[in-house]
Amino acid sequence: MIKRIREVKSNALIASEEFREYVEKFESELVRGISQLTVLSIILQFGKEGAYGYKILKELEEQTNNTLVIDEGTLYPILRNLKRDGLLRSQRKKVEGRKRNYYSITENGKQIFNYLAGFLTKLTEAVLPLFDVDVSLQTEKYYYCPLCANKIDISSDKKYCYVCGYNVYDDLKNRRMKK
Amino acid sequence: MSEEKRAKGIVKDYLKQVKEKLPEWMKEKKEHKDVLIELEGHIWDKAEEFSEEGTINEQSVRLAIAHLGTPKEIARQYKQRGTPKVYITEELWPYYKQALKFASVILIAIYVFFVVLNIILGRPMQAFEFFNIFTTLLAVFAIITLIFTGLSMEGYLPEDFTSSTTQEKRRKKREKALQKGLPVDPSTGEPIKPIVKREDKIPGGIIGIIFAVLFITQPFLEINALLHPEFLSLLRLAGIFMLIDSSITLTRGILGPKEITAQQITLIAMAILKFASLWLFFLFLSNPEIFTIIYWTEETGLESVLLGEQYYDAYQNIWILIMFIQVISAIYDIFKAGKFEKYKDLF
Repeated sequence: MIKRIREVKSNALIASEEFREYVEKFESELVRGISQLTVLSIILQFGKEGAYGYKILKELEEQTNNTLVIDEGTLYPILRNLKRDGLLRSQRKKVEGRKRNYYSITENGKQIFNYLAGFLTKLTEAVLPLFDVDVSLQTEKYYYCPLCANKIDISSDKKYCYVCGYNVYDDLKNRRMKK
Repeated sequence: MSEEKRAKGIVKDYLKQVKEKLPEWMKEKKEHKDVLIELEGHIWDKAEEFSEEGTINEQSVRLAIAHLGTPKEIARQYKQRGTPKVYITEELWPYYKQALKFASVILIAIYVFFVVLNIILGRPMQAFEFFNIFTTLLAVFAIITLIFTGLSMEGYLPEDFTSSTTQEKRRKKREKALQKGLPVDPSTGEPIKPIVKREDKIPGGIIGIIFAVLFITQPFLEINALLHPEFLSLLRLAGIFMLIDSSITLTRGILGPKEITAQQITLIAMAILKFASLWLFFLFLSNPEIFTIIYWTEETGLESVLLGEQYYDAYQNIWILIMFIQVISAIYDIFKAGKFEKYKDLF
């Protein structure tokens, strides 16, 4: 974010090298984990077909309103690491004369994503009021496990949370009835 | 030269530079080809976005490359793999420690060899002049540290030193172990083997057999003369138990951790022996009057005395405690034999 901000006045705080460096470091620490999660979320939208690097970046820029921008050189190592860890699989395809690696999410990747997405959601819900921001969760679509915050689709017929084993059957049934 | 050709030339040149900068582990695994294909696709897509008329030109390619970063920056991203721990990554840390240990053992062994050799040759002082152990150790440690720091900076991980087939085998082994609820070493990811340490069992067994033979043959007549004859017979009986026990220990050492069924049988045999030995301990317990204490004085040399009646209670309590420990130990052996079942198709 800070990288993209240009100083309008020469005495603006952003002109200070020290401030810029400090904030940039802080931002990158905050964003590191979130970047991976958002990349997974974009890939998940493309289902089995998968998405290639350039497409992922474009979608990310568009869907986050140009706020979360991953450096182009950083995206490919991220994809590679997620593939190495078994969260993604890739398939090389030649489309319009260009060779591309299409990444799609694995079953294991989906489970890890849901858990981490749930964690991030609950964390955001708890933390953002400190900054005077209200967060409303989409409880009509998702259920968050009361024990581990795992994100579970409300239409799921699962009896137990697959992360912690908590019995979610009754809660899910009640939510569906309310809906 | 056409615009298209020039653009292709720029991309080719850029990718060549990226290839040079990419880490060695990636080139060894031929993974760099995949990275280069991916980057090339990205450059063309981006260049298309930058070109106003929709046709890619030299300028749009240059812009796309500038956005992607310098070859050095690209390569650096692929080198950031391990978890930082001092200068050596956490993933390489256990191997670094192992390397240091290995080097120390080898160096100390060489040093001891030279010291002994010089002593034999009657030149004890020359050993130290010949081989300064501390300086050598420091130098070797420094070299090992430098190598591991370099490997960490290049983004090497332990898996880069093993073939994909070995990795696959390890992964399967690990999965199987986790499914069975067996412990897995957190640093190596390998399942922890059942605890049958050859280096403990074999010498332990041999030493036990030597003592057992001494107890059975009772070759020191001077000592025999000092002991109560019945106590001597009990010691002989103890020697027989000891001989069986040590033979089983030695067998377990020879069999090693891979012979799971044989280890289970020996463990059960050991448990039976421990239960049987309760009878021997009971004989010791119920005959405190034959227990002889040997001591040594300057004037008379070795002397012996029978246990005083006032100590009988304490003596018997000690034997009860020993018998209790023996029962626990036998039960633990049976439990261990059962636990070994899980390891069966793992090794």
